[in-house]
Amino acid sequence: MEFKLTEVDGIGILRVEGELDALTSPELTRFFRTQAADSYLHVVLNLEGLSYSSSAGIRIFLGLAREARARGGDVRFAAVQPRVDKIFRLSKFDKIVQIYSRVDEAVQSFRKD
Amino acid sequence: MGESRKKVALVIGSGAIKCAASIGMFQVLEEEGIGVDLVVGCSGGAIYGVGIASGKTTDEIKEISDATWTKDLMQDYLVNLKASKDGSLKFNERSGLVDDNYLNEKLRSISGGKSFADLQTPLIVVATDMMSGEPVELSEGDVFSSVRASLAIPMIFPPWEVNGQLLIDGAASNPLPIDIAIQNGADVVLAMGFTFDYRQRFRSITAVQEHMTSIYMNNIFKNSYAFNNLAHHSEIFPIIPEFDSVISMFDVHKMPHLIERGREATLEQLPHMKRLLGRKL
Repeated sequence: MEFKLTEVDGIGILRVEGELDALTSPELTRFFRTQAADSYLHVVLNLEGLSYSSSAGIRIFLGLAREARARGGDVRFAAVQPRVDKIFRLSKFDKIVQIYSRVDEAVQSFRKD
Repeated sequence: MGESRKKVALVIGSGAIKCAASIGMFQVLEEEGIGVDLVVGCSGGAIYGVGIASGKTTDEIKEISDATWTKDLMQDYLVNLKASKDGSLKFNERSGLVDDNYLNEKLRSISGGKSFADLQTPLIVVATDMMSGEPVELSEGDVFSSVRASLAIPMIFPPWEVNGQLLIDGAASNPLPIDIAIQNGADVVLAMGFTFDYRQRFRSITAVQEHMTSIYMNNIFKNSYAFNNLAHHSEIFPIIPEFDSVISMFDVHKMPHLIERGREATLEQLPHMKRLLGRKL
């Protein structure tokens, strides 16, 4: 998996690339906690490059969102690809977190809060 | 010490004839040499679960499938429906609109007089307690009785009594019993599930009732999948075949299409399954 962390107006933008499952999801958790969580209250996960997420991947996403919310922030999702979107909907994950078509829309959503 | 092998469970949810898609899933698993340690079946899925757990070949399971979903299954349905409306047929908790002799004969043939202990792979069949609404796991004794109970579609097929409990369709409580696979030790769950098609035309009270049931059932399916997906630590591979057209209960001529869609849905997940199971891609 590959991760790239950037910033827009104080909001962390984490681009996640590859396939997320029980084997790879610990990498995301580790990167998020060590690189993003300490620096940013609000994070947008850019999933444009994520081609697959298993049930373990969704549980990791939920865990990251919960941790961020416990600190008073949030994790929001953008550019979810069709295969991942299908599993998000089947899991009703889209009813738990906020998902946007584009990264700039997700960033904008934090400004409106 | 090497890592112990992951326990793989195959879950085949309710879906009547659509469950024939599990033949396509099983074909892929056989071709790839992916062994199954536990089979869990609900309603129509229980029929295919018995086939797989008995060690039948995919061709044998296909033959069973072709012979099962015929209009004979609905013996006397229309006559009894009319009689129930004019009051000449009295209904109680043990009633159904169909004379179940044909269904019972078919299921006895599929089960081959076996008990669960005779099966090559452990099987759990899921039904629902008619009086409490709770899901019931059946994994001991007579296979026929368990599958018959799991298939007792409310109002259509009469409920079936097992060990003193009056049981109905497993789909009423747990249409895709992933939780039961996990509670029985599965590390990896291959879960094939089906949603109901919605009607576009409503020309009778029965059509409206059927449509409403589809809404209830699809929501039970989605909510229980969502819960299991987020609550458990086992890896769940959802295998949800998509069909080009509405599939009716007796569309036996669509069997090749159902099987192919089951294959395709399984192949989509295969690289991820193999990676998790430590197989070469």
